[in-house]
Amino acid sequence: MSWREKSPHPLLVPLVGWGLVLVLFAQQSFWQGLLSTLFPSARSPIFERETLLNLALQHLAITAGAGALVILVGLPLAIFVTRPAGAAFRPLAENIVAVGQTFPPVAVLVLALPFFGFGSAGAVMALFLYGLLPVVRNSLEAFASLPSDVLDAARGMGYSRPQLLWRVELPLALPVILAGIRTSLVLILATATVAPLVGGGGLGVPIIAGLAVSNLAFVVQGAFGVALLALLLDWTLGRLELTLTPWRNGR
Amino acid sequence: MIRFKSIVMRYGGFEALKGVSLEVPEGQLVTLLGPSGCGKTTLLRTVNRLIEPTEGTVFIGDRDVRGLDEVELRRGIGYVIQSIGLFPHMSVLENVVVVPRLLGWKKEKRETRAREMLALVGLEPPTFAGRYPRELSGGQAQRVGLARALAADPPVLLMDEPFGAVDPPTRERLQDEFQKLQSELRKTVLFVTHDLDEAVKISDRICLMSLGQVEQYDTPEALLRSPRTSFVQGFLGPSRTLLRLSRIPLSRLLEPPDGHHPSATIQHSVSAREAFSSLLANGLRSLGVTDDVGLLIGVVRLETLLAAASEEEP
Ligand SMILES: Nc1ncnc2c1ncn2[C@@H]1O[C@H](COP(=O)(O)OP(=O)(O)O)[C@@H](O)[C@H]1O
Ligand SMILES: [Mg+2]
Repeated sequence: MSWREKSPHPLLVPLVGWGLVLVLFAQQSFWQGLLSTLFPSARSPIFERETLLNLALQHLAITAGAGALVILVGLPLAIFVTRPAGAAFRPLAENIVAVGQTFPPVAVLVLALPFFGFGSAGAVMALFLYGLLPVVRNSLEAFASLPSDVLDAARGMGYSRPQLLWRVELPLALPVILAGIRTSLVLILATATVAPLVGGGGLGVPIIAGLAVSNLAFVVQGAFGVALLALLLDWTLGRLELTLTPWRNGR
Repeated sequence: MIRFKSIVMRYGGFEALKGVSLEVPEGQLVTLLGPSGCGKTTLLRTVNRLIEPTEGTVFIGDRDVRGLDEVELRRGIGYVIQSIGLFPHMSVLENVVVVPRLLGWKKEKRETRAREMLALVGLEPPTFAGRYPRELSGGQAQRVGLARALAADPPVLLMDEPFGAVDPPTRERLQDEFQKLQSELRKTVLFVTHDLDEAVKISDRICLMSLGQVEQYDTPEALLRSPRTSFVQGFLGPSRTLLRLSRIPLSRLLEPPDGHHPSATIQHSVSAREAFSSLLANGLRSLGVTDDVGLLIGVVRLETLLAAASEEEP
């Protein structure tokens, strides 16, 4: 509510940024020209089985799928094991989540293959396991380090347990949780480059194809796209943090 | 009215409270006074059931608090703590109306109430309502804490060293203002402090505690005049005579002006103790006393003050 006096809305700028980047990705012939100037010796300078825009959209879809799973599973998990009823499960949850990240994502992808088959679903599952750690770890940390005087005052004022969680604990934990989500989503977006190994799409497709046929232009095309999306995502989530927690910034 | 009946609190083998019985009369301000660790906070927190005593019963009015829903109970009791515990993610206004909101008051009623409360504790609503707690000084934050505790107009207030974290001049100002408020609101207040001056200044009655037990429960005057145990005597220390002066309003010791022009004056609303300090500081034997607008209304003499300090109760 406190951004009322500020205009325009602080998320407008990132939104415009995303629009511009997608428009940029859609300029297939521009990229073709640019890449053929940079790599004059390449036989085909631009990946032709799929447009750059489609590859980027696939990449974002895989990231969004895995990211949504991470948030929908990771956050409730952290909330559950920090309640008295779930405290006994905390070590177990911490271990599983840590193991999920120690496995190299490529190994997880291949191990997930028998369960999910060839295609994007397997990639989404593997990336979900891989990206769970930052969200869970940060959320656990956030709930553990809430100011005890504030919680004492809240209980003394007469918040019930669910009200305490929704109106005090979650809002106060939000900055650290959001930082975890940010780390996790950027990690997933970057790692989603390996998705084509199990038949998923995305910007990894030209990279892996380029490596296979020693076409540097393909690799550059994919890598540049991933880097651009990662930067934009990181910046957008940073803005989102500021918007959701206005109480942390002075006026 | 709050009544404690034989409250025992054990942590493992350690007894933090060893059978405390005490009654806080309706509309009075009672302080729990004593050295750190003597069990004041523990006793206070049994009232709103943040602590369940090992033995004994707490009554509010004639109802055992264990028979009440703990969330409902707490919404009916104002609670102020030393660290204040304002909600950092809520504006000052939202902080103040936390309990009214939990009680389901309508938005307009809440906001009207918040503005009244802020004005009551001396914070202009237009300046402060929209601020976040991190934008407040210690004294301002403590005022917000008090406004928050009073917002739903609870009959009972629990205050745990509420002025302990602010600098001495601010603390005195907050004490004065709180005292004035309390004389109008007449809440039943249980107030924890380890500061003897503060307790003497604001209390209707003082409960002096040591090692989980009540040493003496009396009016400040009686406590200062006749300490009942050697612990009490030691705790009050050599300044108890001087402290008795702080309970005496200067207006009671006033004599008519003697025609001389006084070389120093003091306001009639201060305590006899402040007049005494002023006499000492100025090296005088008498002071002129002025009313609110600065007109001379009388004099106070050193002899009168000395007599009042050592006087037995009539
Ligand atoms: N949760 C607890 N576990 C063990 N001991 C405690 C606990 N809470 C308080 N105590 C002990 O009980 C005694 C009284 O504490 P407290 O009521 O906070 O004292 P005060 O408020 O008078 O300084 C202290 O010795 C303290 O160490
Ligand atoms: Mg204490």
